[in-house]
Amino acid sequence: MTSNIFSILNTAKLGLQSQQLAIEVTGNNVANVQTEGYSRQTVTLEPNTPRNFNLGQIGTGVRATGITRSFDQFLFNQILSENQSLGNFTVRRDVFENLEVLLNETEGVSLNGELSNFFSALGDLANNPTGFSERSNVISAGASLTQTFNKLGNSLTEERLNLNRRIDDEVTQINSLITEIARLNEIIPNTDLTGFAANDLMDQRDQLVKELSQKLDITRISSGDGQMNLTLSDGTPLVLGDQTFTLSTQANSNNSGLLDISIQGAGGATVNITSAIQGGEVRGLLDMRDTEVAGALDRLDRLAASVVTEINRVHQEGIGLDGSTGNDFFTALSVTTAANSANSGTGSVTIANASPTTTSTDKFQLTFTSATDFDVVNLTTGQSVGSFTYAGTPINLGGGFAVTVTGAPTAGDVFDFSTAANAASGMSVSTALLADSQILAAGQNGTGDGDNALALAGLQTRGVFSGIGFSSGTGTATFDDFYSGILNNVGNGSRSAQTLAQQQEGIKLQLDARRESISGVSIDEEMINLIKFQQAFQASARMISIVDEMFDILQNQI
Amino acid sequence: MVMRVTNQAQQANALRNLFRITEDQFLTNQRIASGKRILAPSDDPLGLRDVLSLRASISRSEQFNRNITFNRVFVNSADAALGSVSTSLVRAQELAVNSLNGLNTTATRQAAAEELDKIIDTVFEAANTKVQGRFLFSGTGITTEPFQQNAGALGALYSGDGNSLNLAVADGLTVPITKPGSEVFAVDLNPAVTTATNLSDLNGGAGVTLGSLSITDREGNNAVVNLGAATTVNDVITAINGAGINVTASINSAGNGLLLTDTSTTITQALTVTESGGGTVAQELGILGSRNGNLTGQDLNPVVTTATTIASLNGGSGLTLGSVEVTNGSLSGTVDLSGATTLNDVITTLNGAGLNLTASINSLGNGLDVVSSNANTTAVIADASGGNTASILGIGGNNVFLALDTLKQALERDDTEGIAASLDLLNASRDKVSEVRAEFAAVAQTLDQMDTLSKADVVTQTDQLSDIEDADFVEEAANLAALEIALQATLATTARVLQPTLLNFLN
Repeated sequence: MTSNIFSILNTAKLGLQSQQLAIEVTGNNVANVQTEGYSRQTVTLEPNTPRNFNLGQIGTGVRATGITRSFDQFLFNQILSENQSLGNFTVRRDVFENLEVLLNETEGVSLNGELSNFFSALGDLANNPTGFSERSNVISAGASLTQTFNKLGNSLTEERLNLNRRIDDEVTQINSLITEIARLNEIIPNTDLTGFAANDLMDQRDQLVKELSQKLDITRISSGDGQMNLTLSDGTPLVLGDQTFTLSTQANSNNSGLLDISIQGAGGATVNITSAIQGGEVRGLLDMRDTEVAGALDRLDRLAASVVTEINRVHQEGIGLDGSTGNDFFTALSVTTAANSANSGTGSVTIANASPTTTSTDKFQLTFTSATDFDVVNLTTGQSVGSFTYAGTPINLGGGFAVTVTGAPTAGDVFDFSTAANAASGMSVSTALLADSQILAAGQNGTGDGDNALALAGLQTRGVFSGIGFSSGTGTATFDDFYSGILNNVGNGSRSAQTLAQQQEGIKLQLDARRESISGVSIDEEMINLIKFQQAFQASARMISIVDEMFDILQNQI
Repeated sequence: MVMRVTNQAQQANALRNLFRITEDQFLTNQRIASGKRILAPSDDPLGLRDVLSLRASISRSEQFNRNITFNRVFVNSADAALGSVSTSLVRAQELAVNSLNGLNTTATRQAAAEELDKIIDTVFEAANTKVQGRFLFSGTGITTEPFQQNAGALGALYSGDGNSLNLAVADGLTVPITKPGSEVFAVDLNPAVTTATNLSDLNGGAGVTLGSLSITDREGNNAVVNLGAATTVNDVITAINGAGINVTASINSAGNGLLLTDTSTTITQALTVTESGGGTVAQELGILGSRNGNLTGQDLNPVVTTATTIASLNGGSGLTLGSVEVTNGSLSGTVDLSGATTLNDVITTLNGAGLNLTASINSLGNGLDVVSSNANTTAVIADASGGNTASILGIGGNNVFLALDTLKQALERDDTEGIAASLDLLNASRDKVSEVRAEFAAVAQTLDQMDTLSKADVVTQTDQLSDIEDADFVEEAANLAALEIALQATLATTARVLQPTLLNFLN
């Protein structure tokens, strides 16, 4: 066998085709220069199978063996894991920012200022205890204080509800993402059968997985057939091949009816994964809803409850202009009792605030150990209050709660109760006082002195909290201190969320830059490639014209 | 290998750099516009805590400052009133001394008595001084005119109470800015409530409209207590204690009213006392109302009777009685009252001293009247040397109105012994007024000091607040300038870096 002129033509043809393909891929790269998640593709060329002849082997041109995308799966895994932290911290930062806007003391609502105004008005009343304008001043300062508490309480509750709605939205989005990923899983291996990688679909799927990783802490396991399996970091499967495990939400009556997240488990049963989710925006939303915002709201409620209790205690001891005594300044607190949804007994517990000026503002939990015996724990301090047996008469605990048991509770039934629940949003000046400023008790000895107003004003500097517990008379922190504590918590939380989110953004930026340097499209590079392939194309074309000339020589000149 | 820098990477980087600078610019601008360094709690959580506590503290200092500024007038007016009383007493002394001069006749003494009458009016005016519509010397009963002429006897009747108006001038420091008239011009015997006190003697002698009251203890047990037949405080206490609920009645610790002690073990509600059958007995007994605990009743303000013990006077602290020096015309002597245990003992001892004295309880039931039974002489009662019995019993001594009135009567009756003896009373009264003025001066000094202190507090704390909270304009302006330069440089380089690709150079 010798050299074959047709073989040259064929080699040139293969060259033309390959370079044309390379140009097409380059064109595709250029077109996708701004496409997010697009991985640069290159044509892998290799020499065609050589043929043998008497001198040895001779090449038969070029052949494109595939179009590969520049993709680093280890980097991709790293991006996924950093993304869930970023999602978590970003949510925390954004929600803390909202809280800061609500609690902005510099401009807008100032609880600190309202407290000062209220105590100032009481100070003025002490100077002129019989003055009607001083009296109405105190009442309107009190009303303004309650409105501020109401507003803050409502706003924080609203914030929790907003977070709850976002969790619901996230679940919907997560479901559509995993459905889409599963659909792509289904298509991708089929495409792979043709021998060429489904680069664009894989990019699409990667992009979806990346989006999902911002929302949840997912782990990615690629199976050999090109499918991608996703689980939560605790191993709960989300996508297995083309099979999806969708999430759903249910109201949790033990958490004010806010939503828990469940996943469809094996065999169709749903499993509650609210606490199994470890990262991503969903964790951030859950944490903010159930810990940070709930904590701020709880503290605000306790502050409001303590203000009501302490002001009322002193106010009751004073005497109004009309000689009346024992009146409340703020509407007395009532007890909120909540039965646990898992209770199996038919019993119920009625708890009355039998001593509104001495009852604790802490949260309590009552757990039955038998039909008549129960243990009580102070949830705020974590300490046990004691074990009690109900024998038909109300049982007192926590400084004035009167507990009455009706029906038949069974061991293990749980009831939560406190006076502070919704104390901030429900705080109000007593209606009797609003109707008649004369019952404002400024005096202690009679109707003309201002000693009780002085005592009320003195509450501003009186220690009424020890730690986070309300303890009238023995505490070391004032109302102002306690409120500063709330702000401090939010401020510190916000600061650390900002720092973490910023760090995380930095990390993500670096990872993105690395990903870009591996997978991104550079126009300069593509232009150079284009010139390269174009010149190669031109050269192959030139080959054909040379072969043509060769034919011409052979046909016409021999 | 050289790092591949792609278009998207370049663009993202450029955007991030620009945003970082513009965000800083925005925040700096906000700080300058608001003048505040701390715009949100996270800007400086610890600093914000200090800011809030300083703001509260400044507001309190301003309050103290305002308290002093608006209420100093009470102390100043009291001093002015007492100054005028002092002048009046000096003039009365002059009149007394002049009247003892041998050149004086009955007619000139009558004229002196008439002048003294005008002086007494002036003193009444001073003692009934009103500031901002509030009587200065009526204690906390600021709408009650404190002093009236004691018709049919000597001196004045005091209708105010024994309390002072207190002014908060610093954290934990209150000063009395008024003094009850009973501590300056006249005496209120102020008896405590005892079990033997008659209900009819309560409430300044107005008594109690008998009826029923309803008590509910903290366990929720209710009892209607019928007090229709009660005559003494003891009857009320016995009736309540016998009602069969977990409430025990007693006299309160101040000794001026009742105390209802709740002994319930199970607490379901507040201890509540209400009227029953539409009466007002609970209110008049000072126990109308409710408490989450024991109910301390209000001041029942009992009047004195002859049976009132000396030990129950002065709000239950009792009085230590000694001797008094009596001058009545030509009669004079020392009467020893130290053995008296009740007011009746005091009255019978005075009446039986053979000094022509007629002692009785005054018309308001809060003091004693002692007059001469001889229409031509005046009974003058002074403290025995070293003692204060006449003063504290309000029958002579340093009681301003009594001293002036006694002198006036002695002048009218042409009783030279009486005139001479009243000089002692006038002296004692002047001392008393001077003493009270000194007390007011001390209060005024405290007010001045606290005023200066609270003003200084406001200044230093505001300064500190500004240090923590306010933006440093120079620094912020420098920052802004630096950011502007950075922004311009970044924009310029970004424009250069982003623009060209190889395309620009290919033909």
